[in-house]
Amino acid sequence: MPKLGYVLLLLTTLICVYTAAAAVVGHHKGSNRLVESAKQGVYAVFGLLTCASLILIYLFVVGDYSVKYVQHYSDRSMPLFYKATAMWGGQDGSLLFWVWVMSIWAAIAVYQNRGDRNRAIMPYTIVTMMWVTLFFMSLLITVTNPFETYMGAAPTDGRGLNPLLQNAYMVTHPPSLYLGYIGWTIPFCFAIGALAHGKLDYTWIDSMRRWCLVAWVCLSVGLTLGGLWAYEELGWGGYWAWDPVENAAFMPWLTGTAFIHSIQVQERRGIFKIWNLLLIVITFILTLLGTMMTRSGIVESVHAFAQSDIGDFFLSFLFVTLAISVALIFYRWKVLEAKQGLESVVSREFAFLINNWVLLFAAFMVTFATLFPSLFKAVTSKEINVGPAFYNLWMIPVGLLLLCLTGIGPLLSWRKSTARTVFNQFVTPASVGILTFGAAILLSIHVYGSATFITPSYLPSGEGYAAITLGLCGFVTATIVQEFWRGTKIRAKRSNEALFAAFITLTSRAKRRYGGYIVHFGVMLMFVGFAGEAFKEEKQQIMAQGQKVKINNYDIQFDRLVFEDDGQKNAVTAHLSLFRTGTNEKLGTLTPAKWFYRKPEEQVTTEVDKYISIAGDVYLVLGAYDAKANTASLQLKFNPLVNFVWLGCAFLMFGFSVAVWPNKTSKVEKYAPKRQWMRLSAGWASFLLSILALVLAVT
Amino acid sequence: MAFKKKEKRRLGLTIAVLAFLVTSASLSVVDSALGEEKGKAVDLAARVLGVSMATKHEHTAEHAALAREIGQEVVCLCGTCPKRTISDCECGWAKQHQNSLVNAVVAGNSKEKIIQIYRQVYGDQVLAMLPNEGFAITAWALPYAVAMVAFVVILLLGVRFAAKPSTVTALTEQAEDSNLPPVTDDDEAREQLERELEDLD
Repeated sequence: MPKLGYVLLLLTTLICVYTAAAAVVGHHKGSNRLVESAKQGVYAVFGLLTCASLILIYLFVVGDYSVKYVQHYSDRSMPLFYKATAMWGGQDGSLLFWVWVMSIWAAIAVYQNRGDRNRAIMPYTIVTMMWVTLFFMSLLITVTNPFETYMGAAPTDGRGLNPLLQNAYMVTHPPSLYLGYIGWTIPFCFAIGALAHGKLDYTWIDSMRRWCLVAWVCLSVGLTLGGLWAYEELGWGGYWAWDPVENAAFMPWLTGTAFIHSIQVQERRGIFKIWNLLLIVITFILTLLGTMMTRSGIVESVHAFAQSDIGDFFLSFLFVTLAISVALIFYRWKVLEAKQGLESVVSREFAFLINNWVLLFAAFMVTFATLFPSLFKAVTSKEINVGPAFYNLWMIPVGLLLLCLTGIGPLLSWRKSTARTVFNQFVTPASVGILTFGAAILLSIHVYGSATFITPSYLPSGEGYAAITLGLCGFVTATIVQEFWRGTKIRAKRSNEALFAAFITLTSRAKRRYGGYIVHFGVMLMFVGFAGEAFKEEKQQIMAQGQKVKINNYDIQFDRLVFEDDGQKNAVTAHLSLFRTGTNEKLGTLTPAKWFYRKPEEQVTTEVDKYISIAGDVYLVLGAYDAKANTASLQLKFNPLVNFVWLGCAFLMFGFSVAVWPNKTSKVEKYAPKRQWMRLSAGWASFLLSILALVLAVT
Repeated sequence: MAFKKKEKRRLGLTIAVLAFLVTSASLSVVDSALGEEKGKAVDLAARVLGVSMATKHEHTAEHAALAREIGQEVVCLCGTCPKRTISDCECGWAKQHQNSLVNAVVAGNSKEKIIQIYRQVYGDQVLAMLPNEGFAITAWALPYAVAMVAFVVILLLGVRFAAKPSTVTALTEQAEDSNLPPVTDDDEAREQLERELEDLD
């Protein structure tokens, strides 16, 4: 079976080469048959990689420890659930997973553009897709072969998967992150296809707009799930630590966000063509850089893959791809140059331009700070740490500026806003923002007991930043509500509809616009969650049986320690009762634990438990314990507003499903009912998923 | 009993070698017991400061606050956490250093001296914030430089775009073609215009 897997990889490589060649020759000779053959080649690559991936999953499930990769990342005692997902637990399998997802996206893109749709740019788009696929295939068949077997006698059992990866999020987090990461490859391929052909109007962006939204939402959800995983599994009470692996996914998210805003300007005004191409190239390069960073040992991280020699391959591929892309942009410069300009700086397009620069600056900062320790070591041969303090110093103001722009952008008109329009549009949201800021100051003083808003160096303190954040959240919410309200009011007046009916019609007729506002609302909710960080409470306590400790408005009583063994691990669980302070009302039992895995190498994991409410989480971590004395050392934390981060992500998904919901009156429905059915299914699926996420976030 | 000069030298050398071996052995025992990977003695900083890491000495709230403040400027080097500050990390390595910091403060060491000793023992990687010296100045200066360049580019782009022919004519023609109302400052018309443009998608 492993041999068959490897043969499939070799076959895929050959078909990649054929597909790229057929696309180029077919395009130049005007042979429709060859171009169609290239399209079939994309499907074949998808089919072969699907088979290869299923074989690897099968090898994990049956526990074929003659395969090195299977032996390294699984063992007999692992539940089937984790065996099946261990495919992306290590470097080799995750690269196969990368290229498999790439082939799925490529096949969908080619299917969408079958027939005459985008006929001109498809050949070079296919060539670019195969170029990327070929790079990963060359890695898989040479240095990171997941089907490599032991030469001698195979071990009878595996080393086991890292216990931190034996978590339900292992099923959802890596796939969603990869779908987002690789999702950006498709718009990049279309951009290069358009550049190579010279058809550089809005067509390629129009075809890719939904792809970009899908990639963006998958990456956003992947990042949030990663945060949730860290929060629930690592036991340090936070969800973001500016770790290089987190940053690797965040960098393309920033430039991708800039891109999906910037293409709206090209759509409306026909400007920013070069800028958009540069943004999509940078986004793709950052996805490659991120993939390289986590695999080559170039950066130090607690959850990077093992160090390997693939860094040089990645670096070479990255530079060649960047050079070709930039050369193509220069080659088409004359065609791409804007024929018209900005009419006013008080316009939505200028706000988008500022938004783009701020996002690009943020991406630069994150990339630079992530790579700086390596640069420092190369220059001085010494080690240095660029920790959260440095990132926060820069990224908190940058984040607040972006939040502010989220509120400003929708209030400005395209082309030009006059002073009267600006005043009319801003007066309500700005007033709400100022009032919310005042309320946040009062909340900080009276509820959380914090009254220091400025540091001795005249910068805002944590509480100061939190108050500014909440004030801006008020401003953004008021902007969104105002946009919905004005639109609904006008609609109701013009069409003589009831307000609710007008609201529904308005949203359904301009789904992109109002879906986008819902996404903005989700982002705003996430910022509310970030602001809560400033008010968190923390205690460390050695607790005896029956002892009570107060944190925030809760009393926590230690009941007992329980010892269990399920064959795979020993578990020590502390049982604690949670009461509302000053009452005997028991809210529940919390069970933080320590799990001692037998494999690999007797690792220990910390299993936190928490009591969730909209005001915040009571978060318990079991430290040391004394079985004889029945005492336990516990970290007790109260994380205010943290659930707004997950709630925000649910709204983000909901807004996305509204934005991509197919139009009833579109030509697609008229001429291709099957495609319309597929899009409707996708819309419903994302809508139901967002509802599920919403329910999970609030329960 | 008198030793000859040569014998004294041998004895001295033997004692020195023995002392070295005993010290190395004890250090390696401590290292392996605490899981230190990088070959450094985990309590070296505490030794230089002359304090214990096992438990905290009697201390006041001011001592604890100062120790916490210092602990937020140095990071945990246990290798398993994402380099959280010593004050915030809960691992065994950080706990011992939290004790060491309190004891060092109780012993009368200043914040600057304690941080200096940590830097000497563990290097600059122990600092939570990048030092503003040497090559690290690049990390401080470059973001400002990039922000300045970005500002200038935006300014130049603004000027360049503004210098190009206005698009009002082209867009008005487009609006006429699409039976759209001309651009006005009226809010309702603005809403209608934008929504109808949206419908054109």
